[in-house]
Amino acid sequence: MRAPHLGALVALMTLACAGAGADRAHAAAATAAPEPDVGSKVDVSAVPLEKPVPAGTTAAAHLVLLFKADATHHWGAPLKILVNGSPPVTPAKKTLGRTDAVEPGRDKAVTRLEFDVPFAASATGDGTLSALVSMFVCTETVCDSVDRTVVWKVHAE
Amino acid sequence: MSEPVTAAATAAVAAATAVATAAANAAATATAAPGGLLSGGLLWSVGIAFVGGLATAITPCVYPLIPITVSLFGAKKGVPVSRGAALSALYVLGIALTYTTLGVVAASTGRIFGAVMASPWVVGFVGLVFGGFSLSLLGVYEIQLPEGLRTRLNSVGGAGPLGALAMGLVSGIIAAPCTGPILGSILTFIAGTGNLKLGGLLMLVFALGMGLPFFLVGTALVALPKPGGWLEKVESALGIALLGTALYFVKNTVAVLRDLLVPSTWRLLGFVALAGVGLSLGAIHVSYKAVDARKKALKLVGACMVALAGFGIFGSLQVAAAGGPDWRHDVDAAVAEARTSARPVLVDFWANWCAACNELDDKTYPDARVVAESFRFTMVKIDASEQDAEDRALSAKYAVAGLPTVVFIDSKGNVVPATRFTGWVDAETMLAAMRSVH
Repeated sequence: MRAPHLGALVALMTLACAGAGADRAHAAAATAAPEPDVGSKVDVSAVPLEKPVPAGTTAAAHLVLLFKADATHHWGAPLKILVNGSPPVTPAKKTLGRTDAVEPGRDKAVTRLEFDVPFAASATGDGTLSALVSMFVCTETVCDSVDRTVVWKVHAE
Repeated sequence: MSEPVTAAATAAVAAATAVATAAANAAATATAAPGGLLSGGLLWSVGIAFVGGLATAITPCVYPLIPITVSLFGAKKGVPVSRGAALSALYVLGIALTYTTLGVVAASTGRIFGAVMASPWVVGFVGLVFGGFSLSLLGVYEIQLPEGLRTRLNSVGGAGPLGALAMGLVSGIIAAPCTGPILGSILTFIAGTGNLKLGGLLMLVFALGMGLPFFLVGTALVALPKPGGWLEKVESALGIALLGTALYFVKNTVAVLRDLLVPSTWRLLGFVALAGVGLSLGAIHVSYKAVDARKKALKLVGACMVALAGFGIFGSLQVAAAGGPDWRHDVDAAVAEARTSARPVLVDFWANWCAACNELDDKTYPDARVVAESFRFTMVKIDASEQDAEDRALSAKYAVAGLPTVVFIDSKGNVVPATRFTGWVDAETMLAAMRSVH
């Protein structure tokens, strides 16, 4: 082979393969992304009931969801609150969703949601009201399914 | 090289190189959904198969025999055009019957042995077969039928309708030294797809392309240019195209070949220049019958360069045209079909309210390197926005706790636990994960 041909061949092969080599080296150096713990980025708290509830009446317990750092709850993302009670407490509404929030923040990603969870006390005595909150909490890099249960102690008189 | 020769050779390279590329797309499309058989991808591959058949007809063992063959079955001067057309059509029908049957048989073997095609050794072997056929077309050696078989096949047929049909049936086999390499390569490819409809259809169209010159001459519609040295150049061009096809076939097992397909202006210019140097070395215009060993060696080196350049140009243009992965949405069907065709699967669980999922779509998947790699995969997207019973069942099946989650399934249908990830990842991480799955 004549020298100019050989030179051109080497140069062209180098040009064609240079990018490929760089890409491969970069890819090899990449590591798998750690799975983020988004669950720790939301506080679900039941505000304690301050006063006894008169028997035979209805009242509301207050639930606060506080999303920390860059975590949010998107309007379209699932959020379901399943409410249960033990006698003499019975939930007035067994399921709540984002639209039931005090300020639902329609079409927005929010960092705080508050709910009034209605219940009835049918007789005097001590009972509990519980709420299982199932939702997707999102950060910029991931959305995680999070389940939290909170309980209120209810004294009816 | 004279102008008609250059044009013919260029057309042959373009046509044959793209046959496997287009057929690969068509196979994926055709298996995606029954309606996919009429999609643009299939129409494209059908067109390419037709041109490929036509190119085969202008090789040294076929082209000079066209006028002789048509006169043998009775379509000669003085015969009415309608009779000439009928006889020629029967001859072409004979070719089509043989080739279509071969296509279906090849695809059937692929169905049986489809999973074997996942083995890099098998893919490498098939690539070597392609390469061996291409060397034959370049003139390094000749593939010949045994003398006795050739004599018997040459005696088949004669004047009249049945004679024309019989001659058509055996013609593809008689011309094996020229048609064999191309035919063998396409059949090997079809076997790899395991797709009966695709196999039959592509070979039927290929046969019609090959039969067209016979039909035109038989009906006295055209007078063919005189055969000459240009036929050998066309054969060399087809050999180069086949070599490029071999590279395309083995690219799924050779990462560096896939890297070459990442579109870049500089790389494309490099390929064009590489093709120019290869052509100047005598890839097409130098006859391998030349006694000069140095010229023979330069022709082979040049042919390899042009084949690599053709592979790079066609492949990177294909990646650029795709823009992003070709997503499917039925995971069970995709996994079943991927297992048949021995392809790994990438399953992406996403939701419309998930910003990280949108980031994957906006930044990671459109990366040209990821797109190039995705051609090796069956790509599936599962919309988990509603989180209804169906979404939850699928999420449970694949242990999806967050979004986006990307699950990899290997070509044997097994989920690869070590490679899955949850959350947004950049293109480099995605690429590394995809490359680790086979």
